[in-house]
Amino acid sequence: MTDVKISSRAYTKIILHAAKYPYAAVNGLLLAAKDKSKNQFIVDAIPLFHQCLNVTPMAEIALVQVEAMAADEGLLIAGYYAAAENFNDSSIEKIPGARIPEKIAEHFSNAVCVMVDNKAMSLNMERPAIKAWQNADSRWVKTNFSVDSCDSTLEAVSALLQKGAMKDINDFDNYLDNVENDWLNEHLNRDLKQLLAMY
Amino acid sequence: MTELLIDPNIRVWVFLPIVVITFLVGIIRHYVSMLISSQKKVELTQIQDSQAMIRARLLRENGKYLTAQSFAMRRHYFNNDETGYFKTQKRPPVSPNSTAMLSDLVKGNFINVLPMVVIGGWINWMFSGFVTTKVPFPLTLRFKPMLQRGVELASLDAAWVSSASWYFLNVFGLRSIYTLVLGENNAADQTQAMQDQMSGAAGAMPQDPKAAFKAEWEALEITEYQNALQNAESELLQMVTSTARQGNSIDH
Amino acid sequence: MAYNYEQMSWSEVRDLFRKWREDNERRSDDIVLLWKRILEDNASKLGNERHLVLEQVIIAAFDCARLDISEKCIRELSQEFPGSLRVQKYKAMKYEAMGRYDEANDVLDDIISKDETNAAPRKRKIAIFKAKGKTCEAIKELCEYLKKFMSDQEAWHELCSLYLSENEYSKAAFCMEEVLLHNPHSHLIHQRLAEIRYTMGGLENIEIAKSYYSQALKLNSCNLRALYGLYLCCNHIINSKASVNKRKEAQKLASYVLSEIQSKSCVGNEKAKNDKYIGSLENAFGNLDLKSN
Repeated sequence: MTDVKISSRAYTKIILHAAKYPYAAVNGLLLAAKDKSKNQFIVDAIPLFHQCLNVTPMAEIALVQVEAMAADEGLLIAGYYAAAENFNDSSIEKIPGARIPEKIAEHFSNAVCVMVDNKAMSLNMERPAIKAWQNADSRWVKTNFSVDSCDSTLEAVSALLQKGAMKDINDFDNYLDNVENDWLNEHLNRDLKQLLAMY
Repeated sequence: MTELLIDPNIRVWVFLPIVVITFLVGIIRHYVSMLISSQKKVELTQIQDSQAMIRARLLRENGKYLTAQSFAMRRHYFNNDETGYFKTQKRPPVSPNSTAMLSDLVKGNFINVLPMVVIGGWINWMFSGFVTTKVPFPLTLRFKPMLQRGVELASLDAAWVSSASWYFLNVFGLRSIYTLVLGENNAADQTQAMQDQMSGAAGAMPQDPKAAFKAEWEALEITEYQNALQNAESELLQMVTSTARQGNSIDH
Repeated sequence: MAYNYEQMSWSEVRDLFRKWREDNERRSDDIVLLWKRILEDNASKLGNERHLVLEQVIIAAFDCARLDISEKCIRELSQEFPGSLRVQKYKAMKYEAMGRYDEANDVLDDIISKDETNAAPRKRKIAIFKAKGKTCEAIKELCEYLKKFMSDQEAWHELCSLYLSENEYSKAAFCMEEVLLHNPHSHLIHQRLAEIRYTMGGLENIEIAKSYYSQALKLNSCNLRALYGLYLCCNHIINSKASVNKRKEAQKLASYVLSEIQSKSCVGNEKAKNDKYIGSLENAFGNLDLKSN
C-alpha cells in the first residue's frame, strides 16, 4: 500500500472535465510515470467519455490509443477516474464504467481509482473534491492521497472554474464527434499560473 | 345603360348593419362555444390502445432493421394466441349513443347551425330586396344567382350585390378579421368548423378497438420478416470499391 | 464564448432561446444568465411565447440551483393559469430540486388522479426514483409506464440507459431496438445498438454489431465511432473461428475502415501524432479486451 500523489495538472483536468458536464457521468484515465518509486505519482489525466459510459467499443479504442500515447511520453495507464451522474454517489460501488478500472488493475498492480466527490465541488474549493482508492489483492481499498501543492492548486482550479475554463476541455467523446477536438488537451499542459493568465 | 345611384340610406341602414350583425354574431358564437364546450375526455385505455397500434404498425414497417429473433419476439408479444396483446385485450365497443357524445353533437348544432339559420332567415326577411353595393369589376351573367339572391332582375348588371348575398359574403369573409380580434383557432369561424367535421375523425382513435385490433393482428400476421441489414457490409464495400474505381479512372 | 452576451438585443435572445428549445440543448447556465441580464425586463414583449420561455427558464434555474428565479417564474405562471396541471408539475419539480421528494410525490399523485392520461407527472415520478439512486425501482416503474404508453420513444431511451447502468445489456438492446423502430434512419441509434451488441460479446453478437455499424456508416459515412467500432468487430472476426470467407471479407473491410479513419483524422491539427496512435490499434490489439464473456 502506497500513498498516492496527484499532480496539479491531473487534478485540474479531472475537475474541469466533471464541471463541463455537470448533468452527466464522466470518466477518464490516470497516467503515472514508469519508474517504480515508493510513492505513486499520477502525472496526468486523460478525459474520456461523457455520453455513454457502459458500452465498451470506444473505451477499447481509447485505451489502446492512450496507451500508445503514454508509452511515447514514458508514462503508463495507472488508474481511472469517474464522476457519477447522481449527486449523492461518490463511493466506489457506484462507479460508472466499473470494468475499465478492473481491467487496468489486471495489468497494473497498484492501480488507482478516483471518484469525484460531487458534494465537495464548488467555485471555492477548500479541500480536494475527489476520493481515491487503490487496488490491493483485487479489491479496492480506500487510500490516502495528496494533491501536489494543494492550496495553490485548489485556488487556481477554483479560479479557472469561475472563469468558465471547463468549456475548453475536450474529452475522447468530443474527439469522436469532431476530429479537430484534441483529447490530449495540450493547452492545459502548462503551469497553472500560465493557465490562469490565459483566461 | 344609365348608371344606378344607390340611396345613402341603404348604406346606413342595410349595408353597414349587415356587416356589424354578422361580426357580432361571430364574436358571440366564440364566447358561447367557449362557455359550453367541454374538454374531450380521453380514457387511459384509449391512449394505450392507440399507442399499441402505433407500435405494431412501426414493427411492420421498420421491423426489417431488427434481428430475426427480436422481430419474432415482438410479434409474439402482439399476436400470440394465448398471451398476445391483440388477443387478450378485450375492449367493450364504444356505444355511439353515450351521453357525452350526444351532448357534444347537440352543442355543436346549437352553436353552429342554429344561429346561421336563424340570423340568415332574419336577414333575408328584414333586409330583403336591397341592392347594397357593386363590385368594382364587370362580371358575367353566371354570377347573378350568387351575388343577387333575392333580387330577381334580369336587366341588372351582374356586378351589383344584393343584401342577402352581402350577408353570405360577410359570413365567409370575416375569418381573417376574427383571427385578428380573437386570435388563432377561434370558434367564431364557421368554415373552420366545417373543415373540422370532415377531417376530425381521422386523428382520433377508431370507434371500435376490437375491429382495429383484428385488422392490425391480421396485418402483422402476414408480415414476412426480411433482414435489411443482411447485406449492409457488402453494400458498404461495394459503395467503397465503386467510388475507388471512379477515383482510379480519374487518375489514369 | 461564442456569444457576446452584453450586446445582444432581446429579440436575438428570444431567437436563441427558441433554437435551444427546439434542439433540446441543455444550456442552463447560459439561459439563466441571459434571462437575468436581458430577457426578464422584456418579457412582456414576447407575447404568447412568454409562457414557453418561462418554462424553459424554470427548468434551467432548477439546473443551476437558482430556486429564487424558478420560484418567481412559477408564481407568474400560476397567477396566469390558476389550477393548471402543467404549472402544478413545476411546483412538484421545485420540491424535487429542494430534495423534498415525498412532497413532490404527493403533488404528482394529485395531478395523476386528476388526469390519468397525463404522461408528464408519471415520468417525473420515475425521475424521483432515479434521483434517490433507486435504479431498480425506477426501472420497474418505467416498465409499468411503458405498458401504457408504449410508443414513447423518450421513455424507451431512458429505460435503455437505466438498464445499461445496471449492466443488463440484452434488455438495453431491446429498448434501443424499440427506439430504432421509431427512427430507422438515424445513424446514431444504429451505432448505439451496435455498441451494446458489441459489449454483450460472443461471435453472434459481434456479427450483429458489425451489421449495425455498417448500416450506420451507410447512413453517415463520417461517423467516426462507427468506423472505429466496425474496425473492432472486423478484427474480432478475423481472429475468430469464423469461416474463411467471412474472415476474408472482414479483412477487406478492416483495411478499408482503417484507411478511412486515417484520412478522416488528417483533418485535425495533431495529424502526425494522431496517426501514430491510430496505427497503434493495428499492433496493440487484443491487449485490453473489456468484453463480458
